[in-house]
Amino acid sequence: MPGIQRKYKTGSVIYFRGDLGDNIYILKSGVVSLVHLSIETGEEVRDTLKNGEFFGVKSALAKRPREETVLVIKDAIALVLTNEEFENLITKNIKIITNFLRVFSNQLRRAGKIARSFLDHDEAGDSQIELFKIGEYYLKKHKYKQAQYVYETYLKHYQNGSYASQAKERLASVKDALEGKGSGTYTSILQEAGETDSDLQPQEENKESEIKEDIDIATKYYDAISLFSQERYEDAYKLFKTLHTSGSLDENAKEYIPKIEFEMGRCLIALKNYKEAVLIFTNMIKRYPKDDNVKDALFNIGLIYKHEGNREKAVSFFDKVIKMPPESQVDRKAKKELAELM
Amino acid sequence: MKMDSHMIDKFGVTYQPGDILFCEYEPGNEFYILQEGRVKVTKIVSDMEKALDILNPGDIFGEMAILEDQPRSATAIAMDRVKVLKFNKENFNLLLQGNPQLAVKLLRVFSNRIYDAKRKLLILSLPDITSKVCDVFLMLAENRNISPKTTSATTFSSTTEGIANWCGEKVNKVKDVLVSFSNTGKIQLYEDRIIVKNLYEMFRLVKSKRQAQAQE
Repeated sequence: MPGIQRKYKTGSVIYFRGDLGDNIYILKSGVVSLVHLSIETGEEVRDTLKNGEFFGVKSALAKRPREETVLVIKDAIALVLTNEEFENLITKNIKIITNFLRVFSNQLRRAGKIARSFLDHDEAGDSQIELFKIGEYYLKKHKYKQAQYVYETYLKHYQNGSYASQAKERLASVKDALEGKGSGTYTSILQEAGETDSDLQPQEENKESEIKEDIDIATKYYDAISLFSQERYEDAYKLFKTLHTSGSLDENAKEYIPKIEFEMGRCLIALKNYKEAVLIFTNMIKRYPKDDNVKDALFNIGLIYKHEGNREKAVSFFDKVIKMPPESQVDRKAKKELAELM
Repeated sequence: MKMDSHMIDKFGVTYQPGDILFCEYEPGNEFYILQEGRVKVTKIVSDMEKALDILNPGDIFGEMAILEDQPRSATAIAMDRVKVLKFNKENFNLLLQGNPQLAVKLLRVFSNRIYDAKRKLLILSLPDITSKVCDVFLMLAENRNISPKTTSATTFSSTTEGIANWCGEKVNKVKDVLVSFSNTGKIQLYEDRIIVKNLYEMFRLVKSKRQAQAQE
């Protein structure tokens, strides 16, 4: 047997939770306890090892910190193996490996089960519908080869599934497209998640583009925020402005308008165009007095006046911030500014 | 990894670029060892196909299938001409006997998965999405041996989809959090990376939430 034998005295600790180390141990004699935190309750759990059992395997293999503290309850002897010695040992004994795989897969399964209990919301969609929708996605993107795979897979598993007839139709049209016979276009039936699970009927073109537009503004808004964070204020301002124009037309994008105006104001400050900034903040406050960003907008106007040396106006705006409910983080900043100006 | 030709004859499968090996929500109980070429792992999120990972020769994937009968959680697509060895529960033992080295590798993959799964539970157990997102950054830092007490800018090559996946939240909600972080100057958002200005601040937030939870 490779490895070295080590003796441990009662009351000593072989390793602590959080330690780094790549040794793997086999208990030869004595009594040893593993103290770890339960993944279910977060409380300390103690397991006593039997002679011949391994410990420290997972952390050594994954090269991660130890998950448990190993206490010596009664004088113990352990065989200490390096990672390499352990590998040599187990490759000669497949049974050990299958045992570990079983233990590890149980642990993984338990962790997965708890994780799913946290994710009770919508995650557990019907995989039959979801699989079909993947096909719809590829079809819409004219990725016929992928669409073909998904529809075939769907039919293989759900021969009499709810969308079997649709899948067959799609498959025929996909094959035509792949052979260059048809355009492969087929009205998409992608719907918003959970809307219907009984029957997916082809929808009119406009509904789909509406959803797409909605995604578009959310994505572009995020892009514009990204540009701002990269200090590319000019580009950010331009993108916000485009969104503002398109947003005024689109019903779905309305909720973004006050946010976009506020961000445009911030861009203008960064670009030192204070006059425009004050204008846009003022308009935003007038039009959307209940928006979450109103207090921040007031504060920003205050900052601009302070910067321009208009102490009186600056004070009045900081004052407005503090007096306006609800309390928010910006209050503290406004108070600080006021204290400086007084 | 060395495989004898007998294995390749028996379990080898070849795919052309663009071929799907398996797709999201597909039932399946095979796992794969990538022999040649690259495989892209994707997921369709908010009507867009997002790449989660790129696999290289030697990588094992789809291994969760030997554990349980859950449908695939992502799609695997060949990027190049790809050669894989494909196994299922039944021929698994045969594989292990012929290839103990592979078995060791599989043990290592599982060990890492358990650590990841447990770390994910810690993230999921936090009470709100803001602290969850912070904890994802802390977890990513841990994996790279970056101290959570770092107060200088730290770059993470993560996507919003990746972060959403770790917190078990919807991408749009995660984006809202990132937007507010960006607006308060806590992070910088790029297409392919996120720069966290002060990791320690996130560490303190998560720590205080955990302490509050422990007192409940």
